[in-house]
Amino acid sequence: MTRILLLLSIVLAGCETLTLSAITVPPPGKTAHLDDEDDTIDISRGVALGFDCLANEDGYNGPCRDPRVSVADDTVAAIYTSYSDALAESYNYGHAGARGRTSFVVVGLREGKTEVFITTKDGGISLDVNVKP
Amino acid sequence: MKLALPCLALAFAACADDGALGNTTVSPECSPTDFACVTTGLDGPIAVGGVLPLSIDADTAGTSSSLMTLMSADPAVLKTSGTEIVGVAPGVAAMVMLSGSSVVDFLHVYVVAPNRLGLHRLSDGLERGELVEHVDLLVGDELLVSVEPYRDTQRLLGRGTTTWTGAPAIAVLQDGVPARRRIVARTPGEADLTVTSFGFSKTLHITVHP
Repeated sequence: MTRILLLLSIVLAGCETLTLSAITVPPPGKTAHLDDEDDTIDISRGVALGFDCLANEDGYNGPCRDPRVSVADDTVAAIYTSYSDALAESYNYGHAGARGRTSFVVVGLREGKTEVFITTKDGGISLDVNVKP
Repeated sequence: MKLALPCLALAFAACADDGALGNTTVSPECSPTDFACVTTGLDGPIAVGGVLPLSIDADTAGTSSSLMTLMSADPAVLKTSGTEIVGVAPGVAAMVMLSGSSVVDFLHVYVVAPNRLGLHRLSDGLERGELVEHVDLLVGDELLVSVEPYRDTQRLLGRGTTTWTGAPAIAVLQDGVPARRRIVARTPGEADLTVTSFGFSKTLHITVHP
């Protein structure tokens, strides 16, 4: 299953349509940084990072739809779908109304490197996760 | 009374922490009328060895709280058990609140090793501050005392196991809460109230007058 998701993310990497933005900050002295340009997350062990997902794909613009997540090594990091008590406007060749925002949470569990995969109806993305001490 | 209620509301508002995603409000689990507990809030780190029961309220408009499970991002620093968190070792760890396989919210919690105890006086459900000098009582007087872990001047959160001893001039009575005792002055004389918790001891000298 992980291989399928990995292949899917590689195929989709060339036409990246998802924009990820951090929505939480780390505690003082700790790291939790999402680089949407390099598709990397640097995070301290024991720290969590929340981030939003917006899609711009084939006329659709708005919160990512039908999100699913997985991780290559679940002993290094965990990723979850999350929930946001807020709406965001969406457009699908015209105004398509407000939708619930799409969020995810990554948690650094153990020092090391792994990869997380996000797949949505609007495309997929893989992120390199570097968990620091 | 009209002035007191808004003040009380403001005081309580400062006693809970919002989750990082803004979906929950987290505070120590207290009886709503136990002001001394309610107003403590999550205003400090949890002590190594301390146990802190939490109240987690969902802030989602139009929806009640779902059944949530807690997960620690680093069990070597912080453990979870039901809706309690336990300080294990100094550090910081995210307490992640899950509903099924989805994260509702999370909160980073600091854990610090205490280096002393503080004895606090309680009356009428209110905390009267740390007892730093000896106490004079009259025969028949009662004194409600709680023990709190400290790191220097920083008060820490969490309950530890406690042992209490007192001399014959006072009676040391259970009060239904592990970290709290009711002290009753019995006979004129001197008494030392000693409490041991988190590996530290603290003694309060009490003089009972006729």
